Amino acid sequence: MKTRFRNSFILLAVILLAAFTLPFFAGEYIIHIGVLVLFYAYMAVAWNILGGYAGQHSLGHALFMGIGAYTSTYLFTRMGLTPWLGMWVGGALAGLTGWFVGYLCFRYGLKGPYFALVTIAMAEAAVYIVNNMSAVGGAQGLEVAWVGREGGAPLLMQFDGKGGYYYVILVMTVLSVWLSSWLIKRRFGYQLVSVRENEDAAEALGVDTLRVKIQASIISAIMTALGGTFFAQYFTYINPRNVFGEGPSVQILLFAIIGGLGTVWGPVVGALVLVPVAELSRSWLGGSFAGAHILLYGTVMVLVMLFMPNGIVGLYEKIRAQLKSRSSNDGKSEAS
Amino acid sequence: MKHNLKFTLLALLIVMSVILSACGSTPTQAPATQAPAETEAPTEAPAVQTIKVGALYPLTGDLAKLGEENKDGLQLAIDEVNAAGGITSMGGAQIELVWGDSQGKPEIGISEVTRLVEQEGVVAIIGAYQSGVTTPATQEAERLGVPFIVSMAVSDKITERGFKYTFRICPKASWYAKDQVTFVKDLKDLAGLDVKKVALLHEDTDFGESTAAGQKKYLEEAGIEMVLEVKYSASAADLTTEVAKVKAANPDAVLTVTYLNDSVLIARAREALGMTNIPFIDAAGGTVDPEFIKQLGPTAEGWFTEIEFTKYAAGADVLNNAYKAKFGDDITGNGAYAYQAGYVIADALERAASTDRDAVRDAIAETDMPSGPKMVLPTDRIFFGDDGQNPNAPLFIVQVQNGELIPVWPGAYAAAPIQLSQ
Amino acid sequence: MVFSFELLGQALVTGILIGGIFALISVGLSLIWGVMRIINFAHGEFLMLAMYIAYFLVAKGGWDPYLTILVTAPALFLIGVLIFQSTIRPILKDPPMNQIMLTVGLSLILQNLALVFFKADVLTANTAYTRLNFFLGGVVVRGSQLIAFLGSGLAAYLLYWFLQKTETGRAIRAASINRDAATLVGINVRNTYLLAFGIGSASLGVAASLMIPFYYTSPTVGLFFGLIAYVVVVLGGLGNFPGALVAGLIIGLTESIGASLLPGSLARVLTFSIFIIVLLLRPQGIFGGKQK
Repeated sequence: MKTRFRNSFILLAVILLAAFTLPFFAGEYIIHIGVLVLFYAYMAVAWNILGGYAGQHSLGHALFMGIGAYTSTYLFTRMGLTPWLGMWVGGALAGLTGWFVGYLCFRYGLKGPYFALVTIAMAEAAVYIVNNMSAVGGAQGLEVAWVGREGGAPLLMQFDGKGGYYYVILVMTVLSVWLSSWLIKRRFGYQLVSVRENEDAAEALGVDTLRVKIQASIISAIMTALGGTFFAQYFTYINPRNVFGEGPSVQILLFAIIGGLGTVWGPVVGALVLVPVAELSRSWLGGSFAGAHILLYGTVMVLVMLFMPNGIVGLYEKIRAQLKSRSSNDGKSEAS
Repeated sequence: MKHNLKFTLLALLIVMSVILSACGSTPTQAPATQAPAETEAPTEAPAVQTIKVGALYPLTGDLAKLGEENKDGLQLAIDEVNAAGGITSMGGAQIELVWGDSQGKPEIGISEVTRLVEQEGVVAIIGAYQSGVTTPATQEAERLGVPFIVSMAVSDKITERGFKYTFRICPKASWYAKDQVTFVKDLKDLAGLDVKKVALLHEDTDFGESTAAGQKKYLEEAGIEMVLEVKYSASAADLTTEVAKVKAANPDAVLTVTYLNDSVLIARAREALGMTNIPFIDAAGGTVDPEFIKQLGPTAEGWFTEIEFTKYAAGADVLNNAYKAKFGDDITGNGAYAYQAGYVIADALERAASTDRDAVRDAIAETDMPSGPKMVLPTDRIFFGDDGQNPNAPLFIVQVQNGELIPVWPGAYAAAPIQLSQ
Repeated sequence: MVFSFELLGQALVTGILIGGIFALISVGLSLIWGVMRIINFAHGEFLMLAMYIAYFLVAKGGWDPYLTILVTAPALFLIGVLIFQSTIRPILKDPPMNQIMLTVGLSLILQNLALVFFKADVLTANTAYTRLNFFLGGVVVRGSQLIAFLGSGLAAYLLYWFLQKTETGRAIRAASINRDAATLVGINVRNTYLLAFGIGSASLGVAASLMIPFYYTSPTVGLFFGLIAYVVVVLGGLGNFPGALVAGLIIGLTESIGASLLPGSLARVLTFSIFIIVLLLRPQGIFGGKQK
């Protein structure tokens, strides 16, 4: 047991070391893919707290992403406030919205597909509202002006080259995974899972299910909004469709589901596998065969849902469990 | 259990990094493959080089149709350049277009710029049709130090940010608006219609909004009253109510900004509501698509639209016939400007005689292309101002007459008089 | 601010006519959702496929648009059955999120298959009915929309009659109310599901043929109609056909009157607001009785 713990610790250290040293030996495009992997991993981890742990599947998480992106970008471009501070204002606003959405939905006992539909409708309504808000650029969106030349402007979350962004999102992702694994081991985590597994039983055991679900909604919303700020800074342009729309909403949860819902590592694994596939398939197929790469993407989704409904992590655990039972049936002692 | 999970993670990480480094092994710096020339004996004539030029358009998604028009036009020009001996100053080097697909999304557009530059090693990029994609994509190109030729994307601010590597051939959104308003004023002399009240009807994305902002500004300058502005979402199930709203405002003329799907709905509603006596003037939106006339037939008659290219202009039929022979349709403004961008980059490479990006950038900045076989735009010369904008990008106004887009304005290019139904 | 009674009248007429179409698009979804508790996020893409079939028959084959129903409805039934057997049936008992993701994946596949095969062109057919318009006072009635409205009502009524009066229809309803009890009384729930999915898809074939005289088709045309269908189904109540009809009209009128009165493109916000409020206060739909 002890060696196993030490082994996994070493393994984690190796992964972290590999992740932290990537920019030293990789080209800009690889670092860019690294940023995308980490960004979607981060967003999926944030979504997973409400969607995976608490089992409340939001299909409109872009609402929070958009609030984060728009708040910090508005404060930055119109008032000169650094995004490092603006992201917390956005986080606070998103947290409030998360409370509001959570309170409304859970207070009225919305579950499953109904909760999913309300969240879609809210994000979709936000698209049209922001589209008609000229103060934040309306449909023309907001552009994050590049202020730094040589060396970038780290104090304004602008870096020369992809490396700086890579480290920002790497730290955010590491922290989010840490927070997510810490939460699930706390009483709060057990309460969330009990709500997901059997809400009535949890209630009977004295869990304040409404409060727990709303708290999960708030935490998830704040984290997603912080990611929204990063998105705006990295891509330097936001408009209502690309931060509030159904595209980002689906992408955020895609990785969590394909990686493995409700697990600590599922969202990370999902992003790690799927983002490079999406990027590479576009460069192999794009241009020559319009639509083919999204076709591939959809096919992966359908196949995963059909043949590994618990995602990659779930499949792994199933195979492991089968191997284990087979080896114990053979009467052999388990290695390691 | 957990412990082994992490092993899997490590394995995954290794697999991913192997895949990534496999892709990373293609040259990331040298834009042209010069290796053969170096390894061969120096007395041999150097092997023909390939120069990679990136092209970024929405090849999938909602706007894929328009992206394709750009793609076809650009490919036609590059094929011609290559067939005519390539870049002679570099030993007949052939240009290879590397396609990037923005999917119509800003963040994918940036990913593609990064890939084209870092992975494919292109010397320059041409794109990107949508303002929403072009705005951040040019910023990324600026950071990476890669020349970006905007063949089509009209938002004014694209060339108003002091960028060194951004060059735009096409007109700005405000020029479309300005010419629409000028045309409305000219209607008095040309067709005896004194326009005092104008209504705006436009779709609600960046394209419609930025053009409408210009329309309002120039209408005010011209002293024409804007009686109503109607915005709609282009995916609407029906636009009869929106058009009826315009009718109720009783304008003398209507300025529209559309995509093809909504322009079809508007044209049918306009006819149904009996508004054919009010001129509708579109800002080179869906109405310039050959499908607009083909599919609507008589319903399209009488519409006005701005257009960047017309086959009726002197010498334009050569390009149009070549395009039509290959792709079956008349070439649109998108196709013509992409075609022109192909010649601008070929001309710059010829003069730069180098695949160094800064040398190419300087060559593009010094572009001075006179009218002649390489020039399809009806202007005496193309050059770029200090802001990277080509000031000579004339617009025409055409009217659908007997199923053809006939130029009616400006006067020098008018092929037929304006027809207004009573 | 422009206002006239003529405009309001126009908004009413257009809203009602379009609302009828919304209703027909939604009854299929309502049936599938009500019977097997699966939200088919590829519903709009099924409609898109049907519209392509109708378009090609009309534009290339010279068919009368309304005759194409004879092809579109059976074709969609078949497509629905095939897709159900291959992808939906295996996940019937999976968590709702997996079902949603599977159908989202399906919609991506269908959309991009259309893009590969039909290109991104926006296609409109000119039919004998397209320019058929007449005036009621100052209000124009689009003939093709009126026919579509009446056709939708008839199709929805026939479906309703089938579910209420025939043996098979009653079996479908029984399976939707209580799966286990239905099995106990000897209903083959497997076949019932298959049939419901097929019929739900076939209704989109009818809708597509009715729409082709006044609407266009493109690979992404299903996105908007899919979204509208969820709104209408929730508003009308799951599996509630008369409810879906009224809800379709309400949404049609909301979009249309909203467009005539509200500035900008805010009418859509109104639609979503109604949707959210109904989901919160009456998730069984405005006409549904108290359930679950």
